[in-house]
Amino acid sequence: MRCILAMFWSGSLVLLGNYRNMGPDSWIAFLLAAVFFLPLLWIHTRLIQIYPEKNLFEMIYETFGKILGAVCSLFFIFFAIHLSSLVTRVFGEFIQALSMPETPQTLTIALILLIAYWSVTNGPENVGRTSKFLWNIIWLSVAATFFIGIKDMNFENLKPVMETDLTTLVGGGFSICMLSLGESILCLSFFSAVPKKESPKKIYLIALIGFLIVGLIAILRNVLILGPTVTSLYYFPSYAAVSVLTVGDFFSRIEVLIGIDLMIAGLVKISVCVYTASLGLTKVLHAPNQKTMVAPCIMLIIALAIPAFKNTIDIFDFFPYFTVYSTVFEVFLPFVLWITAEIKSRLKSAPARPEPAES
Amino acid sequence: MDESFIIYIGFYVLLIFTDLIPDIRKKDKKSLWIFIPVFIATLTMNIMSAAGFSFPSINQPIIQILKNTLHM
Repeated sequence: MRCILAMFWSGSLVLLGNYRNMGPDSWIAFLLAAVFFLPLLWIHTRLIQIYPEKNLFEMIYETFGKILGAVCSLFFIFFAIHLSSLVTRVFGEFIQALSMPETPQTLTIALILLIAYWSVTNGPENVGRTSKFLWNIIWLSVAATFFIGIKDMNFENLKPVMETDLTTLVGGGFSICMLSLGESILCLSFFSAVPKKESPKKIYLIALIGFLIVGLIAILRNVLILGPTVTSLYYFPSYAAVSVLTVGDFFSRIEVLIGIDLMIAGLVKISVCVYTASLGLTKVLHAPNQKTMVAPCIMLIIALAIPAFKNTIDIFDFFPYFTVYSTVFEVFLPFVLWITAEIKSRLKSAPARPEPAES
Repeated sequence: MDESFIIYIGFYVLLIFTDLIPDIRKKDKKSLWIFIPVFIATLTMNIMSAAGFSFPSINQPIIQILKNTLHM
């Protein structure tokens, strides 16, 4: 579960490298994002504690009942499908822009979704096992590229520290939180497979620390190698930073490793979203089996992904709007869910009033 | 129409073999009630976009709502 969370958050790393207005302080904004996520982390873990061994939609139905539960579930299903269509399109754009400009984007998107379809129809355990294996590839390659790049790094690029004004930093931290960490509300659909005795706080915190270390290393690598000004010029700075690295005269073009990392993280993120959406549809439509709902979700995602953006500029222009729009699904709805669940659980566990004695 | 058309057809044919045919064999009516309309609607959309028809992005209404309510 820790690896699912870490991989899910890493699925946004391809987008997080672009800090146009934060210069050398982008790593501070990244740390701020983790601080902003702590209250959301508390809400997520509290929900798991109130409803152990239940998935997100079971929690919603137990809290809100049948009708309101269905309405709330539809919101999360829409968010899961929309998010996965955006991520799919971003990765299609990434591959076409940087690796395979002649390959039609439709093919890339269709292949990504077919892999996600295969992964999810094999069960959530498959997503977990895959994440556990792939997480090792991600942190190893990020660490390797950092150490290979040490000779190309200029530590002066981190100065001046805290030159960016606080409003921009806080805004940047909030954006990063909404773009990656906050989306993990969708991962609650996997917690029905986590035994009651496991501490959800421990799971989340270990995953968060792992993601923070990897993300921080990636951001620092980009800024130290390219410099803050050049980093802000690229839409995918991780790819650009690693492309300048060489090991002697025989080992170069390592950027394909970053491409692979970002793709596998994106695949896990899409798989999580597809699983969540199909689980939600199963609950709302009273479908017999979650696996039968995967194909409709995949078809909806491909239909939404293709027209989602016109070009790469469009993707990054949508960011500020996405930050605000996703707040509804990542902050507001989980907060309402938690408050209602907390009140219901306290009322349930309140001791019954003793009957007044007859005089 | 170009290679996108072939890609979409291949994608949907694969889904027919992996999902639709097993559902028909199992006589899973509920799944078919959901699969078939989504299949027809999304296949039509994708073929029209491969033919050059431009569908509006789902992001546009979100951007409009945010611009109108929050003056972003």
